[in-house]
Amino acid sequence: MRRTEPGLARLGIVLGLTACALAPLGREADAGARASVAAPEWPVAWEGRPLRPLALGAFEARFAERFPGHIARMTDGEHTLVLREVREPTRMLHPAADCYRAIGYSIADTRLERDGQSQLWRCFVAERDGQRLRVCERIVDAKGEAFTDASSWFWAAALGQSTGPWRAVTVARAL
Amino acid sequence: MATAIALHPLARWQTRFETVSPLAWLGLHAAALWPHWRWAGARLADGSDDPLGVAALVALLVWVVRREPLLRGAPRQGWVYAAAALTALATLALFHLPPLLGAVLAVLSLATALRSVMPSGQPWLPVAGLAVLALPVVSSLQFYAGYPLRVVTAEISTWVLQLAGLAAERSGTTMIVQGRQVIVDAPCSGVQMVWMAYFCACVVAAFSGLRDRAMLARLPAVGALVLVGNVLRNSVLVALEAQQSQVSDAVHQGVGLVVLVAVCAGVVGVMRGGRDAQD
Repeated sequence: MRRTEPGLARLGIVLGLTACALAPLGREADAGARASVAAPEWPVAWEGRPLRPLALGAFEARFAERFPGHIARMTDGEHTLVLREVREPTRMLHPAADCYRAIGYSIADTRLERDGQSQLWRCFVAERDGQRLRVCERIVDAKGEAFTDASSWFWAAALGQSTGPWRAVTVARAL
Repeated sequence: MATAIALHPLARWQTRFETVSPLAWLGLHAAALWPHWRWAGARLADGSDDPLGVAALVALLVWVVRREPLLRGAPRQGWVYAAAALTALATLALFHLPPLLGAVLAVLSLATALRSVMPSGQPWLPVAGLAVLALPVVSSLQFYAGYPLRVVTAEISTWVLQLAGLAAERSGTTMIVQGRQVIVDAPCSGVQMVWMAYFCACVVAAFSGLRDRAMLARLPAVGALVLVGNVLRNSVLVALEAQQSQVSDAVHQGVGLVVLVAVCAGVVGVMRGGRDAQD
């Protein structure tokens, strides 16, 4: 069997590597490929106070372009709520702490807390430029069962132990 | 005749590629995989993942720089083709797979390209391991493996506490100990301990020249050390939580740190044990 000339083989490899380097340049954004499921009905009140919708921030808007579900941002005047709803288990429904870190907040004092209705929430303090926020989150399924971390939600959803759609509720208030 | 071939442009390029240095060769591979490095860099910069991978990247670069004089001028063709195939797969992954899986293919491609210029008998497995650990994997590991690891940890901790004479039972990641509910939460999954243990294993194996087969044989012991350490940490903290109303963050951190140091020391001991395994 005749062996390939090393220089010729390398030339072929370099051409292949060049093609690999250039191929991603032609990649088109896949934003339009997402399923066009109708937007869910968002809540109109939070703990008895009426909610009004807010525009997504620049970071949230960029994230929403790739998010395989729907996102809404609302306020009752005191709290800011970010609601994310998905119909399939997805890595994109990541913990709120990841989002806050991604926009420059430091995260501290993470703990599980029960609210006035004995509902369990994962809460943390997010701080940036002297601004401190108390942030709490939970994921609720179609039957009202709640999860306080994304990993347990993902496996319950993936194994069919929880039925969607699932809504991640993140509530932030200034400290 | 030779002069006539040398004058041909293709032949001139062919001659040039025969004299490319090993590091330049690796650089070409790395350049072809640029979208993956851009993604990893963005993940590192936006802070959405723990920056532990930087330590693995530094260890990897130090290892390459120290071995640079030993690298072969003529790469082994079989490994070159394997690296090229992995680069093609990593490029295809950009279109079809999640970014992290594509990046894993990319670092394996680069590690394979490095293998093609490494002298015989040098460890490759720990180098490939460091390359994978250099990626922003902690957050994804926490997402996918966090819950299963917590279930396993909670179950074994329940047995341990029962053996210690405490009334303990588990449901999901919640434990009832002495009638008190304790939730085994995300930080108790041990994902960071897993990362640190395998990082220590790869660093010790790479810098001590542990043979790949010997390293492979010791990896289960590394996994066992992590599991024992995490169960121990969890059992101690759950027992404390069951007896006190609130265990302070300092106690949580302190117990976690002591166990982490012990596990890493154990991993170093396992990897350094047995003189015949080194080259």
